[in-house]
Amino acid sequence: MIAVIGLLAATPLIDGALPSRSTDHEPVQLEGSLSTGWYCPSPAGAGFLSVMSTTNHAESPVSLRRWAVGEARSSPFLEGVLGAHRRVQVSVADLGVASATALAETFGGVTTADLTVVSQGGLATSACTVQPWNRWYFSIASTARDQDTALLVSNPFEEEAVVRVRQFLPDREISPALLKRVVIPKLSQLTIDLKEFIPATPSFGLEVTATVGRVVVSRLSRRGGLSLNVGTRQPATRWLFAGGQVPVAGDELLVITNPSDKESLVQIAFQTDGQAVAPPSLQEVALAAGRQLTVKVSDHLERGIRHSSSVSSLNDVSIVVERQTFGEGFENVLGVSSSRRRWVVPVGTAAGTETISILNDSAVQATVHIALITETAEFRPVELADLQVGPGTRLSVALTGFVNGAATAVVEAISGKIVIERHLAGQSDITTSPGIALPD
Amino acid sequence: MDDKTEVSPRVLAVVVTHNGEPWLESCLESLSRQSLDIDVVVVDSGSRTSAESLVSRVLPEAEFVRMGSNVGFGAAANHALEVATRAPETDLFLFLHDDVLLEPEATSLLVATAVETEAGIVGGKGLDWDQPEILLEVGMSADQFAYPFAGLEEGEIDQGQHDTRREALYVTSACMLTSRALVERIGLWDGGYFAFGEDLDLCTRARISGFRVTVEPGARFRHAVALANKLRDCPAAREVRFYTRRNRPRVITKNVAAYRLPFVLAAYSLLAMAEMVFLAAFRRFDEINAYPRAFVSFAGDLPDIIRRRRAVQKRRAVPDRRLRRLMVSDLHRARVFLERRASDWERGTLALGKRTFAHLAPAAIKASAAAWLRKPPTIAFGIFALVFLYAARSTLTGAAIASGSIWPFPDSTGRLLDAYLDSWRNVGMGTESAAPVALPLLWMVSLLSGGKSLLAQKMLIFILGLTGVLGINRFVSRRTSSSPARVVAVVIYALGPLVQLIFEQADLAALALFAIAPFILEIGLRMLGTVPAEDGERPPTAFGADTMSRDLLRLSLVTAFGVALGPSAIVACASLWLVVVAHSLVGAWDKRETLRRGLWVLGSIPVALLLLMPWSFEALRPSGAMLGAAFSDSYDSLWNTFDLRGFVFLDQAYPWTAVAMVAGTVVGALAVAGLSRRRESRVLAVVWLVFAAVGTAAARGILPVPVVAPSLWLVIPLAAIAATAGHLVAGARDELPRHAVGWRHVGAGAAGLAMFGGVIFGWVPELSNWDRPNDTLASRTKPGSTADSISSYLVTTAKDDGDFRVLWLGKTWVDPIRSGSRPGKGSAYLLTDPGGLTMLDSAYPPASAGEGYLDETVESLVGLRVHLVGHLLAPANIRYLIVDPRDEESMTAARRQRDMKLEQQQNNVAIFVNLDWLPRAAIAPAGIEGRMNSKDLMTARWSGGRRIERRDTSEFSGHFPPDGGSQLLLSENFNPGWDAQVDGRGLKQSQAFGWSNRFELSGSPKGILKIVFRQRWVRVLWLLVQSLVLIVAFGMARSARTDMKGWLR
Repeated sequence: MIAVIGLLAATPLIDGALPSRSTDHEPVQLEGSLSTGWYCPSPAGAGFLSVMSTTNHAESPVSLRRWAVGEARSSPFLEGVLGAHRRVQVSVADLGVASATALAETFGGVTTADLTVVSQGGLATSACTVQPWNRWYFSIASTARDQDTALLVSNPFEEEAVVRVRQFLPDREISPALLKRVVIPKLSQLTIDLKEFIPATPSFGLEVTATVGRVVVSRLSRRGGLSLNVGTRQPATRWLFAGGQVPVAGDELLVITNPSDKESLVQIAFQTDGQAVAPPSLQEVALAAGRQLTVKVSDHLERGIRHSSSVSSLNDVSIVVERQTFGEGFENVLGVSSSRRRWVVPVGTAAGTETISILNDSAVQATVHIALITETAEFRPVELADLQVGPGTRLSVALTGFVNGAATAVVEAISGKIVIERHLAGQSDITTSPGIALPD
Repeated sequence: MDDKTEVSPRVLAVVVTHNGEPWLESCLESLSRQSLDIDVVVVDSGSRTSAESLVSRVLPEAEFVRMGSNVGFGAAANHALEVATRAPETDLFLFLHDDVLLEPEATSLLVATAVETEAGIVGGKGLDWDQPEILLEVGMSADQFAYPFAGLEEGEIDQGQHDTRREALYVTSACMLTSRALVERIGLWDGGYFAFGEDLDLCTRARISGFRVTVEPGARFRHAVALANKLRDCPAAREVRFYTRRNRPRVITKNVAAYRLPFVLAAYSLLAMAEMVFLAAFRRFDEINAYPRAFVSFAGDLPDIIRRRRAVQKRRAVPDRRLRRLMVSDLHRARVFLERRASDWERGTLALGKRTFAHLAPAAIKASAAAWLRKPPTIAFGIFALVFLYAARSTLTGAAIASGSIWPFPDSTGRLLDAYLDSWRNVGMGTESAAPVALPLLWMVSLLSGGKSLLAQKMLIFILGLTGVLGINRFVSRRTSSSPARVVAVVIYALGPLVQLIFEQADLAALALFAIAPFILEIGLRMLGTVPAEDGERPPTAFGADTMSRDLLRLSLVTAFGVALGPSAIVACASLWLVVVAHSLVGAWDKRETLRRGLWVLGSIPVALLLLMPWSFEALRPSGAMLGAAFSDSYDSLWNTFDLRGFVFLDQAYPWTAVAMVAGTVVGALAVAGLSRRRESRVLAVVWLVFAAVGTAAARGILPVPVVAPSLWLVIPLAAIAATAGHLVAGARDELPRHAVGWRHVGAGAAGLAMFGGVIFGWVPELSNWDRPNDTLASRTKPGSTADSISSYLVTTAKDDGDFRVLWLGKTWVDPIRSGSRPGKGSAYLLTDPGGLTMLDSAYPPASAGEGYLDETVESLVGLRVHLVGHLLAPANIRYLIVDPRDEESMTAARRQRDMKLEQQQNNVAIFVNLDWLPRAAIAPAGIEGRMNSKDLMTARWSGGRRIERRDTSEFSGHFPPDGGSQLLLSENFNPGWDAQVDGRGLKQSQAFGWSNRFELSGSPKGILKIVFRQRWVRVLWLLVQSLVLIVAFGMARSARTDMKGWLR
């Protein structure tokens, strides 16, 4: 009986002494992809030339099917095989449907796709997306006199979709009456020119919600130059921009939108090639729910200095952040919300100065290799191997000398985790492409 | 006399005797007194003492024939006719048993009737030897299986009510007059019978040949029926069952027309098997062996029987149907049988007298009820019942539960039984493994509810809960007369936090174990001899094998019942036996008796598994329902929240009340046990300790998880604690005062107070927090709810467009302890029919190729490896994908799929429809080949598949059009048992997609297409065996060896 009483009394001690079972279950890992669909909304109109590129990153060829949807129909399939570590491109116009979203479906392997748009107004490159969704966010839009913003809403499914648009202004949020119920027929792409629905407004953020069906939403912006971006589906608490440079003429803006229903406390920091800059006035900026905030980078950094930026929410209220550069060309860039080991970015689209910015977002030294994939070969210049990026620092790598025509750059960190951006300064426009993450 | 001799035909009476001294003299004297002059021949068939002197003394003119051995009545009579000197000139033969006493006019009346009616055989009216007013026979009938039927009430008094000359199927050989013409036409007796049945055979042969069999009621004779009543010293008297069961098929085989013979023989065989089961159920094993011996003997005689049959059928002049008019119908016979059994029962009941029922008078009932209601235990139990009903209010009222392993009943009651009987189970991707035994049990509950599915679930919960409460009450009341002890045990057992956990987790297995735990504790401890007698000593060890075997069967039946509803409970039951047996061995290791009893107890586990046939064989596989859940890491997440304190105090949160109650109970019981020598308390404490230790080790990863959920593991310790609490109270009240006051009294008192405080101030207030489990939403539980509307929508769609499967993706739909899944397999999902989860889905089948395919498909979907998952789900007949929009991982995956249309989206559900859905059985669309693998399937185009209608779980049929495709796809796990035919022509089967079925449609077949899963007969056979085993087990467990006299003749 004494033993039993002892046991009853000693249970807490025994519990503390006994080992615990690990609660972690190994996730089920299956190799490779069975099928992937890349959706690339492309602007309609005679002035645009849109080219969709698809790159195979796998060690073996994959089946490739390219087609387009628009005008309530789908084009015939363009079937083929894409070799290992090869890139292929097709003009969207050649797929046979005007005002179209181009689709690249691959079966097996690991692939990426991007879209390059050239017009008289400028040059833009955009990643394509694999993920149709019912909610898309943009932090930057404008219907001011010198600016144009159009939404390319793509419904590549055999079902009708209905979308609703919400505006986040610096001082209020609005649901424009004419954009409360926009029907997107099945297998169609609709271009919504915001000027037709929203009075002239200098700056606002956007939320596009599909109340029925699923859509892919891209934004086509004009402000002297051209910019095409697929929206982000998910606000996040941290946004990273690997590149950035305040132009001598014009400015660089960080535009933050808080689409949530809680106030967000935002912290902004910069990393130049030599040092970290954390302006005191940007350490705890209150951003009310449903509001947009614009920060002029030139107020905190000297013009012409290359830098990276990070925007964080201190109270875990998710936000959407974009960077706009105007003056010497025009670009809108969506940040990325996490760092990875492998990134892909389209390069070599046109003549000009081309650089890749690398931000080491880890606490260890990053050793980075860059490989270039073209339609006929993959090559790894020695000069682009073993690039060293210190913890928390950034590096700009000039690509101009290595690129001869369109290619896909694969940036891989052997150690550490990084964020990249590709920046192209052309004759009349600039364009910046954030990287497309590859599985680690 | 001389006149009569001149006009009457000559009659030879043939008296066959065998050890018939008590009756033969009277028989011969009656022959000497006959009014008609007859010749007599007495044949002694091997009597121990020759009857010659008796014959010569009583009837000197009679001829006497002595045979060396007993050859039976027929053969002896034949021998007498062959050797009797007066036989050649005889016109009529009167065959008599030696225990028959003829009235003086009997022979003359029989002869007169034979002459008047020209009957081939004439019989008389048989009366009881000792009580001549009681009728024994007035002509006999039989059913088509040659079971004799007198058509009289038992003990019917002769009042002349049957005194009409009549036709009968047969008359007994006790007194039978036959004409020479008959003997010359159909031959003599068939000597192969030896005893019983030869008279029916002779009369039947006579009728087949066109002779009449007539009864003359005026010809009265008394009959001792010495052989059948076992009054005669004769082998046949000791082996009545053997001879009757051997001779009946002989009668059938010889005389029944060819076209009926197979059916009658087959039905007779089944009847004989049923009789064997019946006998086994009443523990008359010694009589069962007569059946196989009779069969072997019959089989050995078959050549002779067939030869005789040829002769009989050659002379057939009357069709079978005319004979059957004289037979009694089986239904009538069954009715008479039941009436007699009812009459027996009534006699037995009435014999109790009026006093027996005096307490049932309204006034007496009122008085006893009033007295009963005033008793403190009644009041206490009343309060307990109210508290229990209050605590379980949300479970017992409101919508059906679709959580844990308790799911709604199907709308149609019969579906449970159908699912059990079907040879192909419509669970998961389909399986041929046997349906769980739980289904017929649940069907019975469903029947009790009148087919109301909601009520059925409540009844199931209520019945199981009440059974457990009554069980613990019975357990304690068998050990003590103390009412407070019963109240305390019941309250602790029924209202403990564990029960709350069972209800919240909707753990049907734990609930079933809750119901049976007190019973298995009771029977097991009794078998081990730990139940104390009045003086606290162990009972004498004079249990016989009969008692032990009965207890073994009871234990097995109770265990089997619990395991049927909760398969992994077998591990908990087995663990309990091991603990108890080990304790007994340690305590009395030198006693052989303990070892013997321990082996009996351990024997209950395999017997319980045998009783669960055919399911047990499936469930016993390593991945099966019983052991698959146990000893795997699938349910670790449920166990990780427990630790030693949780298992010791039977409570996950272990508040002070639980600590006080358990500690008080155990310490107090041990204190009392130390004084009173209540050995059982120590056994129960060991059970509690061992279960706590093993549970803790499992929760900490030192041992594998023994059962699905901790709630299941804790039931038996809870029963032990509740029983111990009963011991504590009973001991403290009855026994402590007998001893001098000491520290044990103080300890027991303090412990009792702690226990009381824990129960009253801790658990009872917590009861208000009981809540119903969270529904999985995968089944229609709340009318008008989103899930209900989804299911209604899906069911309606299924009615219009054919049956399909539904994939519920994400943890929202999946309970951590649901047994309808394999939760260890990566992503959570559920596969159901359109109506969602019901009890039909209990016991998910073992992993198969189809399940593997589905697992991989879901992993590809959730891992974002695919954007055309509809292509992969199509061959699995999955039309709808249901996702909770709040589950971002699942929603991301679903939204990516280009061939899945988002049909509806609400706050808590998004329904995607598969645009490439293929019916369960379909003529494949062009371009689809069964040999395709997952990668090929991605690029295929599925539209154009034509549906074949589903008629049943295991049957599809339709008209195959002339423009049909080249192959038929059946979306069930591949099994060679599936058979497809077009107008009776078989189609070649092969495996499709690595797991499914494919049939070649070569040569443009046309006509009716049918796909059936065969082997139904195997299932039926299994069921038959299982039913027989259960009937026998129930019968054997019910009572001791039962006298069957008069039941099976």
